[in-house]
Amino acid sequence: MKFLVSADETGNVKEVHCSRGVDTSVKDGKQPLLVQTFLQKGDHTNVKNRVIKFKNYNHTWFIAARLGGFVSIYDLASETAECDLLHTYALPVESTDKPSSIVTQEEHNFLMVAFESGSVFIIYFKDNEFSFEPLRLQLREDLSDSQKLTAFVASPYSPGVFACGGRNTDLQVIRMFGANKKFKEADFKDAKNWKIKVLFEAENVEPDHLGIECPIWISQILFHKDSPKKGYRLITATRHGHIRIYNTIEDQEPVGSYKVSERPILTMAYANEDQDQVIITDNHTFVVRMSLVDVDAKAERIVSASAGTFYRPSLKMLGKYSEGGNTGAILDMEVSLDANIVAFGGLDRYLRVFDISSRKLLSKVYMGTQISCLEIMDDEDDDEADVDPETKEEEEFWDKLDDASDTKVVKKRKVEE
Amino acid sequence: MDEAKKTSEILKGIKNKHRRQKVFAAIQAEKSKEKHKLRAARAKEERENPQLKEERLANNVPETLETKRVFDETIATEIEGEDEFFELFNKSQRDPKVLITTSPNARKCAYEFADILMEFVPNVTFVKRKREYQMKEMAQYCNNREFTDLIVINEDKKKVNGLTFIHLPEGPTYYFSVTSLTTTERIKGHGRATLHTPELILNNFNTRLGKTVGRLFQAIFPAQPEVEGRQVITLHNQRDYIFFRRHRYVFRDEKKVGLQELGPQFTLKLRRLQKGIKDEIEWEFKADMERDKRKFYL
Repeated sequence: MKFLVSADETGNVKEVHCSRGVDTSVKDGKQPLLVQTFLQKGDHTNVKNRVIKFKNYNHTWFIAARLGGFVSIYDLASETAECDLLHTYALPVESTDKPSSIVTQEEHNFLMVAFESGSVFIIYFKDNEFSFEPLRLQLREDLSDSQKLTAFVASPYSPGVFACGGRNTDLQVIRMFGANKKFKEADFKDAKNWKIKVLFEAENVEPDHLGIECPIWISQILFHKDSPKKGYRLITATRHGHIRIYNTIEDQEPVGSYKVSERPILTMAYANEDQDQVIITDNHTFVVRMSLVDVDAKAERIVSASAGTFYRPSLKMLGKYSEGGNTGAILDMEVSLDANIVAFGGLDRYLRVFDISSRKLLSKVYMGTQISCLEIMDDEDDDEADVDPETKEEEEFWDKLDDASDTKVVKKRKVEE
Repeated sequence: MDEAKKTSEILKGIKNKHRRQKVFAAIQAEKSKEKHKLRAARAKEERENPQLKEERLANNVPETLETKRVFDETIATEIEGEDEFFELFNKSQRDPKVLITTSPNARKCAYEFADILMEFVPNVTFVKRKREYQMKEMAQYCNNREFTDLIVINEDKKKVNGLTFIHLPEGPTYYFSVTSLTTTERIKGHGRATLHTPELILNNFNTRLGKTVGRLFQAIFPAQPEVEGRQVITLHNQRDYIFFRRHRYVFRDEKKVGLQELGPQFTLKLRRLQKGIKDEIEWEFKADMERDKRKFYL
């Protein structure tokens, strides 16, 4: 298995090759085949401009969005061990602004980098060159200081459709361009050519039985594959511990809103092909697989003087990923459904790989630095155990031959001396 | 084993409790006599031939929890890259500047403890806690005034039980529990501390987490101690408990060094480490971490 892992304390990215059963925390345990820095060092390879998000562009480039508004592009096909830096865009954002996501549109030759301030930069690669100026779009004009767009995702099922949301800004589904749009060079020169159409605007849930408004802070958005006609089904996770399910045709409010954690949920991803299970992690050590369809109707008993006794439903927990002694918050994870593995990385400086269904720890690698972003490059196991015995036998055979000839030589030498 | 069996068999046959106790005491006394004899003989032998003693000591090293410590790969590896303290240690010339406050509505003991801390923390200011400000707001306040660290003393039920350290400007945040506080007056033969910047000894902060904790204390005290004060602060980590001690040393002659304790003494234990100013958890103590007695985190 091959992974790319961001190294927060150096500002670089690391490449890890490891097979199943690797555990660096065991003395004389199986070690990873390779751990090395992945990117060429540049002016921005430091902590202050560390990599927050990265993405692979068409298997040719590696895009890294750094703190401080820098977007570096590296060549994946470079011949040296480290990827060569091709270009760095300095985007005009405030120094405190964080990139929230990178969306690539390979067929249209551009990528989008969204920031928490609500700016989206469109970077167009004209003839695979980097001379074109990035175009700035503002997703929402009227964002105040307390508002942030912490989530911005593209729908994998309908091109041109995006969803965004964040702190004190509720979920919106927007269309940024038509599904069959042919882009021209002029489109990337002027923001006026981009008409953002709001397709759906969510409403907050009703206040609870005490009349308290539920605060909004969306951290993750997932599009669901079974969307209704002319509508969308979405799942959001919030930093107030909620998982919400939206059906844009049925209601503006979520069709299901469940409090699954007391702490902020940081990451969320589908755990199976049917998309009825998710894996979530919070800012503590809670890493769990949850069902989106099995609802525990009596999850929380609430005794209230004014509203009486009633029960609040929650989603069924299907199991924790706790093997390997995770002690820190998980900041990023990636799921590979083909290989049935999930990789976690976070503040305790370990990369952990689990089997999704059995929840067994497959490998655990100490990275030396904190991890804020990771990617599974290759989910296939190297199966070195199967290959090795044959090659080993061969090697031994050749070694023996060598030894036989060596001894003679040594003897001769002794005589000479 | 055989002897123990014999003893128990002898005792089993005696039905009178008082007699049994007497016989047992006699057997024990005899055993200890034998032991003493053996030791005396060995001591005599070793006095004549000191090499024997050396050999015996070398062969009988007692096993402790520390020697049985489970493997931790982070001990061998160096700190990679730059952490939050890097700039303070390597680039900037600024000296540490510390603000101390207490938990809201603190009792007398918290202020007394603040007095104790202010004795040895250099360049320190005490501010009475105002209830309307949260920790994050206080951190912002300190940031604007170029403080490098914020210490909050936690008091509960008229006892100081915790210390929060926030390293500024961008964290991390540490929470330690405080136990076994002994004030200077209660230490026999204590000395009087002077206002010199002390030297700092950090013992056994070995793992990656331990280094993060060690660097916090390193950041609070100025890099250049005033050696003429001959004062030294020790933070000794053993089995994840951090012992705070303060001494004055004197070189009596070329071989002998004298130590005088200055006080106070207290013990810290890391409970929580958070990134930033009380943001995501980096490490938190859980009761089941103590299940394996040979696993240490610092």
